[in-house]
Formats: sequence, structure tokens, C-alpha cells
Amino acid sequence: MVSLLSDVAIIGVGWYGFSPVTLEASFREMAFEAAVSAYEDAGDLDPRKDIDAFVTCEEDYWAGISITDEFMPDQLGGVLKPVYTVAGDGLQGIASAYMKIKTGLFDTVVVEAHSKASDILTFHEIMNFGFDPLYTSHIDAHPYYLAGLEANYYMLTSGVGREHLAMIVEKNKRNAITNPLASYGSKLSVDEILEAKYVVYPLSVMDIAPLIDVAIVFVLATKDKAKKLSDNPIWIEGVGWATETNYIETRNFGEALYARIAADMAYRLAGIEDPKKQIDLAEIDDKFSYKELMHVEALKLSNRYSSHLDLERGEFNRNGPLPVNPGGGFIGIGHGLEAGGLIKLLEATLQLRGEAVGRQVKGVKRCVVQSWRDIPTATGAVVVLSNEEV
Amino acid sequence: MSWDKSGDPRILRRWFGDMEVKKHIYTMGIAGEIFMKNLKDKGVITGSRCDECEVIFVPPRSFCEYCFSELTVYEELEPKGYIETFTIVYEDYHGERLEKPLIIALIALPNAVGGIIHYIREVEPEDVYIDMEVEAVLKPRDERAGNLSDILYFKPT
Ligand SMILES: [Zn+2]
Repeated sequence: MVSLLSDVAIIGVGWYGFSPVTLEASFREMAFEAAVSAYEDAGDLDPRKDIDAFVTCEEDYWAGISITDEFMPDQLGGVLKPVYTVAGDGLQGIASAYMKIKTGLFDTVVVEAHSKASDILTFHEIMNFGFDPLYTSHIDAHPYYLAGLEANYYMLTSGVGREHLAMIVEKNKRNAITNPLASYGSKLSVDEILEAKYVVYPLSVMDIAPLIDVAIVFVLATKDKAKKLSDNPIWIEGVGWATETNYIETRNFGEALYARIAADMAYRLAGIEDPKKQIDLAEIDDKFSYKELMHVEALKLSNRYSSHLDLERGEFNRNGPLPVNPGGGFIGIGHGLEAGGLIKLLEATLQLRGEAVGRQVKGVKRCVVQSWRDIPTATGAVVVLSNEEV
Repeated sequence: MSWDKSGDPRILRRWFGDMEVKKHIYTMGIAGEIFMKNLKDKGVITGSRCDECEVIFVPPRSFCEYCFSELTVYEELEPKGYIETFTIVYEDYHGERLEKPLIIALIALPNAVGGIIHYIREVEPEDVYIDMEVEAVLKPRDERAGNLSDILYFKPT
């Protein structure tokens, strides 16, 4: 069957921040800066004329205001145009924009997400609002207890030890040192990492990605537009997303099903049958160290229960056969709330363009990018990207 | 970038505000009412059964997440089971060390899918393990309010 649907390309990227604090600019100004860069990168676009629609990704509860959608059009050049917000991670917004272009009604769509985490003074209390009010509100504790429950179960069933988590931290923090966008790079030994005190057993402060402020804007376009406007379009070959049950009690703590289902969908669209062979580089959600291992398995980049063995063999190192988070991941770059997926997409896009200064992997042709919507969700999204036209 | 900014932190201003959360009523719903009433009156855990999928869900709900059937059959279960997984919380919301770490577990009940998330006490953190058998310690009946705090904690059997 001949498809009449256009291929979808990334033709522009822009960002601002990538810093633990950004006192000098508000979230609106940060998004404006990122948008100006992205439009310039996309071939000097004027959003008032050249962009058909806008998707922003954010959660009201991080913003300190309600109905944050309404605060977004101006700084993107989107006033009086179709704008809506996806209350979820940036990759869910990319999937949404991808579908908009596939409808044939939109030629150019912008996706924005940001984090102004340094404005949030009660981050973990706010996170607790995401838990079920009936069956978990009797627990008055740091919300990362859920990560502790999951990590403990996953590690016991898969044979993953604390030292494997430390190896993830060591790898990602080391990769971050040479990434100019990374805030948390450092050269620590596995032993030094293992000395850190537990926050929630079996996780220490080292296993938890620290927060950053960041705004990121992507410009997506049809194939026709991409060819006219861009010298280096990156092709979106597949997208996928999924959400598990809301009852955390009935979730499967041993496997990231949301990521597996999202990956299966994205791989199907991209025509990928053997991810291990067909993927050159993976940007994997590592908001917690153990999640990187779970997600690698969910994306079929390792066999079940064996990601830690592949890690031991150095397979995920920047110079290994399948680099995972060669720019440092969230543990090394920082965790950018709803912009998280876009941080990973940006890393992959720069790798595919050959512009990943300080962390470039040679010969990258196809990347998989995956994100998770953080505690207490079981929602994830996956995008497959290539620098080769289909 | 696109405009000049101040790099002098002495003149950069922020405004401290509250995002107030007004009072809210959380409707328990059909399944929630039955669960809380049974906990208060009988000291039992209630699950809802899906005959189609041959499972009992805890916490109970009025619809099946697997097959989308309406669930109307409730089962009363003893408030005891085993630790499916646990964690030990060492820090408060702002990173201060807790005086006494909290043990939190997902307690699975025999023959049910899911379980109850609750505190584990009367045991030292280093002695807790996955699969440990535990039972609920309930408030006296006349002090129960019909919420999960009617269970004070679970302890090893
Ligand atoms: Zn069913």
C-alpha cells in the first residue's frame, strides 16, 4: 500500500538553561530564548507566518500556577494559532506533533517543554499530590519510596546489585564531564559512589538524578518543508507511548511495561525487528539509576535480566557497541521535569547531526530515545530517529 | 542570545508566593465505600472479584483493568499477607535525615492481585525481607474512622 502520509522531520532545535538555577530569566523568557534559537536553526522561520501549530508539555503543579497552557502562546509566537498542552513528558508532545503532521493539515509544528525546577521550594510534597488520595494518603513520606519499592523488587528478581547501579552512575557522570550542556559531570569511582548514604533503600542520593532549569523547543515539518528549509533534517521513524494502571499496587515492579509497549509501537512504525542490531545509540530515561537498566531491557537492547551483565562488559559505554546516554543522561546532565524527553531527543538529534560536541559517537545513523513521566506514574514514550532519509 | 540579561545576582529579584491548596472532598466511590466500611467495622481488607479474569483486585475497584468488566462481587480478606517488596525511607521531604527510618512495604494478600502499601513496624530495618509474613495492627474498633490509618502498621507474624 502506498502511504500518502508525509514523513516527519526535525528541522530545528533550540534551548536555554541547562543549569541548576536560572535567576536571570523567567520560564516565559527561557522558552522565548529557546524558540528564537530553534526558529533560526530551522532556517530563519518567522513563527507568526511559518508555523502552523504548537504543542507544549507541562504539569500545572510544577508551574505554581493553574492552566499553564494559557501562559504559553506568546513566547513561542503562537498567539491566535492552534496551541495546546500535553500534560506529560516532552516525547508525548513529539508524538502528538508527529500525528498532527501525519494528518496532512499541518506542515510545521513546534513542540516546547521547560523546567523551572529551581522555583519549586516544596518539590517532593507537590509530587505526593500525584498519589492516590484514597489508598496511599496514609503514607506521609518522601515520594521516592515508590522508587525504593520498585528498585528493591527489580534488583532481587533480576540479579542486579548495588554495584551495578553505581556503575550506571559512574558511567553517566563521567560521560557528562565533556558534555557542555551537562551540570553534574564528575569522575567518581564505583567505590566512592557506593559510600553515599541511602535516601530510600536501596537508592542513595547518587542514584537520583538532580534537577535543572531548561527550556527546549523543537520544530517538526513535513518532508517537503524539511527539504526546502533544512540542510540536516533528522527523520522521525517511529513514535510510541503507553500508560499502565493507576493502581500502583497492581503494577508489575519487575518490568517497565509502559516502556516495552511504547517501544514495540515505535519499532513497528520504524520497521525495526532487531533493535540490538539496528540501533546505534540509545538515550534512556535514568531519573533513577536502576531505571536505566529496566528501560534498556524494556526496549529490547538487552535480554531480560541481563542488562547488568551487558553493563559489566562495557557495552553501553560511549565507545562501546551500543552507547547508552553518552552525553551523561539525567544523572549527569540533570533532570528537566517535562522537558526530560526533549533533553534526550536533543542529545540524539545532535549526535545524528554530528554536532554533539565533546560526546560525539562516530557513525551514528539511528537512535532510540525513551522517557518516563517520573514518580508516581507508569507512563512512557519512545521515539526512533534517523539521519538517513527513508 | 536574543537580549541582554543581568549577571549581577545582587539585583536579581524573586517573589515568594504560596500556591494554596484549598480544601477538597475526595468521593470514595462504590468500591472505596465498601473497602473503608469493612475495614472500620470488621477489620478486614476488601477486594473486588473479576470472574472473567479469575482475579481478586486489592484495592477493590468497580471495573476490571484487564477486561473492562463491571465488578460487583466483593471478597473479604484477612488483613495479613507477605511483603511483596519494601523500602526504607531515611530522609524527609527536604533531605534531612529522619530520626527513625520508615519501613514502607507493598503487602500482598494471598490469592489477590495487588495489595496494600503500608508501614512495617516492630522489626528492625535490617531484619525485613521480601516474602516476610506480616499482619495488620489495627486501631481499637471505636477509634477507627474508615480510612487506611485505621491500620496503624503491619508487623511480622
Ligand atoms: Zn476482568
